Amino acid sequence: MNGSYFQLIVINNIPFMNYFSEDKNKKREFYEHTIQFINFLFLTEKNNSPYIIQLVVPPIYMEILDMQSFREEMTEFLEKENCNVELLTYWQQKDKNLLKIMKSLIQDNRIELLASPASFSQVSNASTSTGVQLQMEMGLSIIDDYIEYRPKGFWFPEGYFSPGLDLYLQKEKLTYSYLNSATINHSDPLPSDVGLAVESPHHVVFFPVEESLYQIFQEKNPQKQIWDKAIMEVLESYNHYTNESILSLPIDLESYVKIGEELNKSIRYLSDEGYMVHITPETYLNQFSQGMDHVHLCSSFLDRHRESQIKNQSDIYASLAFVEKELHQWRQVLLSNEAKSVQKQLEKEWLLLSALLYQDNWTAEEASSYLEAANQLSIFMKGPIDKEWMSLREKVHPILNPTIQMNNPKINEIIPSNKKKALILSWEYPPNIVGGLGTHVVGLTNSLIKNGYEVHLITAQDMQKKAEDVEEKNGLFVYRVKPIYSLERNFIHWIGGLNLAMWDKAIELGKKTTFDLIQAHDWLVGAAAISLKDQLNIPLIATIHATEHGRNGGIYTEMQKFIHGKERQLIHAADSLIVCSEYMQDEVMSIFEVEQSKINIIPNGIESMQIENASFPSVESLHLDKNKKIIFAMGRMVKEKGFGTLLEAARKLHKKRSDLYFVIAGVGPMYDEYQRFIERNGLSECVQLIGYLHGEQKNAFYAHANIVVIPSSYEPFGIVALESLIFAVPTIVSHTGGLKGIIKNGETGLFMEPNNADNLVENIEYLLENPTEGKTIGKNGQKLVSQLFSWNRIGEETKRVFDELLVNTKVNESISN
Amino acid sequence: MLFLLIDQIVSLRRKGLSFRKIAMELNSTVGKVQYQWKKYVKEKEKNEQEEEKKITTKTEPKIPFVSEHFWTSVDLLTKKNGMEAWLTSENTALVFWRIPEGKWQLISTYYDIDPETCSLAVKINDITSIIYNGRNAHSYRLLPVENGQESIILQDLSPNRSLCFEIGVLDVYQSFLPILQSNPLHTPRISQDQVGTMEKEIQNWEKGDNPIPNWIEHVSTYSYYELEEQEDVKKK
Repeated sequence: MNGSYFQLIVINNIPFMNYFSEDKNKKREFYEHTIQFINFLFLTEKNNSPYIIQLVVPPIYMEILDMQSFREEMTEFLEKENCNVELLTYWQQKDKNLLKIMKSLIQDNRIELLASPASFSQVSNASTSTGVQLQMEMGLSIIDDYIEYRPKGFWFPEGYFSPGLDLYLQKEKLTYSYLNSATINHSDPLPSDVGLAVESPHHVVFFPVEESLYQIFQEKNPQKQIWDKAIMEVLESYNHYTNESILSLPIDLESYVKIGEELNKSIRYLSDEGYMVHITPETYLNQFSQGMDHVHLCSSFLDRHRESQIKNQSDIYASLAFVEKELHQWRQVLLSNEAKSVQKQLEKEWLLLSALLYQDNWTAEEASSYLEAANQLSIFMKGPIDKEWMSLREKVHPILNPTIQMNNPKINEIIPSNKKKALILSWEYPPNIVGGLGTHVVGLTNSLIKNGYEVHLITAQDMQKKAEDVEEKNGLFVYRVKPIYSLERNFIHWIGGLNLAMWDKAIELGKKTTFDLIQAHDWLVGAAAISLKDQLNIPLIATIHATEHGRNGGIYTEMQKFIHGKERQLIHAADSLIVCSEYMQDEVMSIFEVEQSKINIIPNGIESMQIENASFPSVESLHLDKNKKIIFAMGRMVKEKGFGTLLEAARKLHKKRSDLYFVIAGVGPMYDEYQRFIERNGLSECVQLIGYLHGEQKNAFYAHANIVVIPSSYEPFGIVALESLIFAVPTIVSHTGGLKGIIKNGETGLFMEPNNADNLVENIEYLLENPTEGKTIGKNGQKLVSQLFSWNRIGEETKRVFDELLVNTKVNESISN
Repeated sequence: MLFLLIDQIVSLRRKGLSFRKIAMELNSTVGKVQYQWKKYVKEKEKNEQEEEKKITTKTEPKIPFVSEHFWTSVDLLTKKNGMEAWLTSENTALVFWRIPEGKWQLISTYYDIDPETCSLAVKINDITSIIYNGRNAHSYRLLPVENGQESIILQDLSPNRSLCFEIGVLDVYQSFLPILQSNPLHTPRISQDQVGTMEKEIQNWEKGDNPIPNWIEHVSTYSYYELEEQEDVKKK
């Protein structure tokens, strides 16, 4: 053979939604189109055309063809309005059942049906997998129900395709479809020749459709001269030596009925002259799919006339998309039978609205009736179902009830627990630890789950990793989220984005879990917490770990002003507050004008450590003289931690004695300055800055230190004091902030005056000269911590505060009702 | 006496024969045939009832707990919240969005801005061949939109580029704060010199080296996994 193959596709573009219209003219249009369809079937039966036609019929139209009311109205229309007696007779002869005719034409190998989306809409615009699947499966199911036929090919209405849709075709065992040849000519890699079919990544074969030909047959009155010339041009551009090219001609059914005879003349001529020969798609596939090009195909468009309609009425198309998203969510959950009927009706409304919006002549009024129905159905999901409304609505469109076996996606079954559920927001949590906040949250969440709460913690994910959800322990769920701009450099914007991401996660969790309360840690998560309190209608408790005002002794810069404002917002929006010390209580009360009754004081806790775990090597690496006494301090290298005072004390002591070795751990902005001080004052032999220490190393130093110093000038709590006390090390602590409330001078530790190096020297010397007293003080400190500051105890305290908050909330609710 | 096989009776009954005809066929009496038939029907009913009980007791614990807030969450997450982009032709896209009130509340609390008067903008990011993290787009364009606007038409898009869109506010320093992000789109190739980058990807895909295709697919690869899981369920 020296020519090309060809196939003919006849597309029934009937505005089938007109059947449901109140507008008489639209209904008339519908009947007139149907007469053309009857004509087509009549002619196809009568004439023995030498080749099989691929036929596309909108599935919903097929449903309408089966309706009793349609058959009666159509008969009436034929009798009154139509002069064609032949057709009326034919219609009567065939029992008014066009579906039966289609079935027999298929059985007689006169036509083959192509599948299409149920709504005959552009599935490339579907937003969810549920939407695409619904269109595909419903479309196929309708054909199966009425014609007992499983098509192998698919037609994308108006030729609208997106990469990835072929996957859905594959899943339905559809093996071929059609695309604008321009897309195939720019496939990647390029096809081996012009006019060949290609195979997509998901193994669907696509036949090229020449847009030039398509346009000609879309005209009202296609002219033979014109199409003869155009077809010839296309055939000549195809390489006849490969004998694999195939010309696919889609033509609108109404046009085909008009010009079918003339077109067949052209086809007969071309066949006789050897220019082209008919082939069915399946035969083509059997012959050529082996060596077919496997290519990537881009989005494709054949008929763009709907574009302006979509642009001008974009809000209605957007509403369609949002209804689809809702449907997708409903499919994620197993519903009761009652709810299922509501769901089914909503899917029906979406399918019908999709069908309407992809017709040419819809009105906003018609569209809004479907959107209003969809809204009503949403409301039924939240409350009682109006059965009368439902049955009335179901009767408006008594179609789209075929059984479809759509599999529900895997549903995670949650067995609800009777535990109270806390939603906790904290920007810091392991492995992201910056300061004390993260450690606090670890201890808090662990103790809460021990005390019978179910804890859902939302925190920030590492920039380098993906967001993820983990069940870390039984009852403790940790969700790590990222802002849209995860690498945002501006800290304030990064936090803003984080809050938005936390909000999304909390609302998603809210689907499966009813939270009893929400807890926010510091201003950083305040914005999300305040909004979620309202959205989820639950009480908010805020833990204030520190304030900007306290940290800086006032508000001086723009950044501090901003943070101060956020702290104020959170503190006032919260129903209850937690602070770690009396000092903090006073601070919050005075700076933010808060009533004492709103504040709960719960000190920070500490895990009881296993002191035996302290490893030697980290200490050994310093090659210390065994006769030297180790004085250890640790903390962030910022001014308020007071290491300046410690270094000054070291300098004074070095003048007098050489048996001391100061080890300071931590990193921060003051590091370099402290390093310079050590060098300038010749203290390198007795003072060392060792940088950041991890858990085990830290414990090792505490275990081997003779004295620990906490010289801070601002310390809301002083969790670091607890860490050293638990190792029974005599500790010198600044008389400030939360530290004041922990130590009893001379008994469980020693107080020094903040910023007073001389006083610090005195205290150090006292301990060196009175080692027994030092040991006692150390032991007393250890006892104190394990009794008062264990997380077990702190956890119980917190639970009590939470429970109280919940009770008060319920009481207030019932009072206001 | 002939031993009457109930199967025979059932199959003859299915063919539409009357009891009399069946009795003749099986060389028995009408009474005996009827007796067997009644027994069969009764057994069947009993079995069906038991099956139903089994089904209801099996499915009952399977119905997951749907919290009071489920439907509110569905609303917030999906019906009133989201951003999407559609290609309406080779170089034109329709982008639309909905921002829920809760998010506006969050932003106005955090940034001290008024949703009615703040500067809203759509950002168009060229993210061709990269994994976009917010900062690494090849290039971007900012298009101001009016407050309350919920869609925009973008024309003259460059061919063969991957794009994704964001809606956000501009702060006083003209910094863009994203609120929502759309699905990615790939504008089609329209000339042959744009062909060439996908051959390797297709080869790897054919070989089965990549579990997920390395190009943009409609409704995202998430749907691919969903369908994969369903396949597993079907296989079971």
